[in-house]
Amino acid sequence: MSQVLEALHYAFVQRALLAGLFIALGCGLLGVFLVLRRYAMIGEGLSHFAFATVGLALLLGWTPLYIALPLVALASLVILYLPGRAAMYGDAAIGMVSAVGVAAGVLFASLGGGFNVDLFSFLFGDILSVSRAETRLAVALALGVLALIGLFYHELFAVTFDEAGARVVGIRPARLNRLLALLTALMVVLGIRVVGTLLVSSLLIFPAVTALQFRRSFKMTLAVSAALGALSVVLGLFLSLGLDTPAGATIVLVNAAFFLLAFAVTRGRQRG
Amino acid sequence: MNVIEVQNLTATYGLGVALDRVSWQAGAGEFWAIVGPNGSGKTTLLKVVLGLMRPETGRVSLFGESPARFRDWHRLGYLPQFNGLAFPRFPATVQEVVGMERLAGKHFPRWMDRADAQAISESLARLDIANLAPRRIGELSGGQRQRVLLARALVNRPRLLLLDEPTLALDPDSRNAFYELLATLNRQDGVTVVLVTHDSATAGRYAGRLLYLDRTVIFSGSFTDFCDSPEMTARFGAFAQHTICHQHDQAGGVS
Repeated sequence: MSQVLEALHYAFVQRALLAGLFIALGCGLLGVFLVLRRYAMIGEGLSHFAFATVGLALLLGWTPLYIALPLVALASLVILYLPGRAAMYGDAAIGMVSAVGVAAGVLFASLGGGFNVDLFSFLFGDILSVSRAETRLAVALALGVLALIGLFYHELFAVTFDEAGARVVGIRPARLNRLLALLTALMVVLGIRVVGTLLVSSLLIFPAVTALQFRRSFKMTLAVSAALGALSVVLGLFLSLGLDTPAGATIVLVNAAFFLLAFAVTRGRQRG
Repeated sequence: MNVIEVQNLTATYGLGVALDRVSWQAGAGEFWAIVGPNGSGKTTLLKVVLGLMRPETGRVSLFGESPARFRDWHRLGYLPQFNGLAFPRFPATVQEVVGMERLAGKHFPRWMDRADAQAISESLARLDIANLAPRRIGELSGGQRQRVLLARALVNRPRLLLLDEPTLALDPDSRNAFYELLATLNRQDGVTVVLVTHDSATAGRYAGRLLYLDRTVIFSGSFTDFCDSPEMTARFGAFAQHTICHQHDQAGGVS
């Protein structure tokens, strides 16, 4: 315990906590909309695509975040665009973007040869190596996501609950879908530094499905999801420091433990 | 003034024709019942009028505007066909669901205020479900959910109500109360009501006008004209025609 508290004095641990907290808050809020709209797997597809963008950035010697942000945002729009224009459902579009991402990532890794260690840190996350600039960017972008969710809260609720009903009150679901996809792309790219491309979708899915077990109002579900996301980052980081385990994987497993606990408690209540 | 105008409308689902050159007008303050067999295009007609579906050909106007240009959504209330909830555990309270309709007519940022909370309370009270406000929509019975969705459709005190099979999930008492409420809204407040239903006998009791669809318009006009039409007698048989007309005459409906 004392080791963990001592670690809090280190700037890199403070940065990890700060960046992780804001990213988890954003993912927790966004995740509720994605899960309820059955877009949960978009995070998985985008994270795999992000793997390719990181590979490309490392190959070119550029900062991965700056390459990943625009390209993953573009991929999110492609995922929305294809089902409306080509003969396919959304899950097929996600699968295609995901496969292209992994294939291109492997290709770039093979071409790059020497940067496989760096690529490994993006695959599994390395929250403790987040730089000051990355922390500032993560906090600013996560705050932007929170503000946009706040501004469009009622519209997002309406299209999530009843898309046809939303159109009859003058809301244009296509615009909000694009907003959701772009915000997801943003959070996925930011989340890569926390848990890596392989696990980032868990930051979107786990807090949301855990919060949904409690069956509260929509506002309360959002609040619980955001709080669980933040708590899992703090607890996961402390546990990883105390147990000397990989931070990203520990955060994800804490999230999974929260879900199991919530599921057991709510099932127990129903039976009781 | 016509609240709804549909001219020469054709709509398709894939290769199948759902509506074939349909023309129809609903005037302000009228109470229309749209009836017809399954797959006759009743729901499609409402969807096209609301801009939820694009027609192949033809022209639609809603309060004088095309659905694509229409902005005064607070002037209409829509109750879609009851098909349960896509996700029964959806985490939304009755208050949140009814409040959704208050977004109509608001501009960015569409935030809620006290007037919205007041309107939601009044609409719930009007349907005698104020006690359900904090309950989750997924916990309610089918009939309760339908009343909540009607409260949502009425929360802006609309001038036009479009209702698609609204009484499917209601028991007979609730159904009668529901139709009485529609009649009151129509007669006292002058709300234009367009009711899609299979229950043509009950519709005859409350509605003044009838649109009979079977992908194309079979009949459009007053119940009196329908009841006096030898063409309709030949088509539906005297018994079916009598069933509808008898209800209408008993209720003293105005055509």
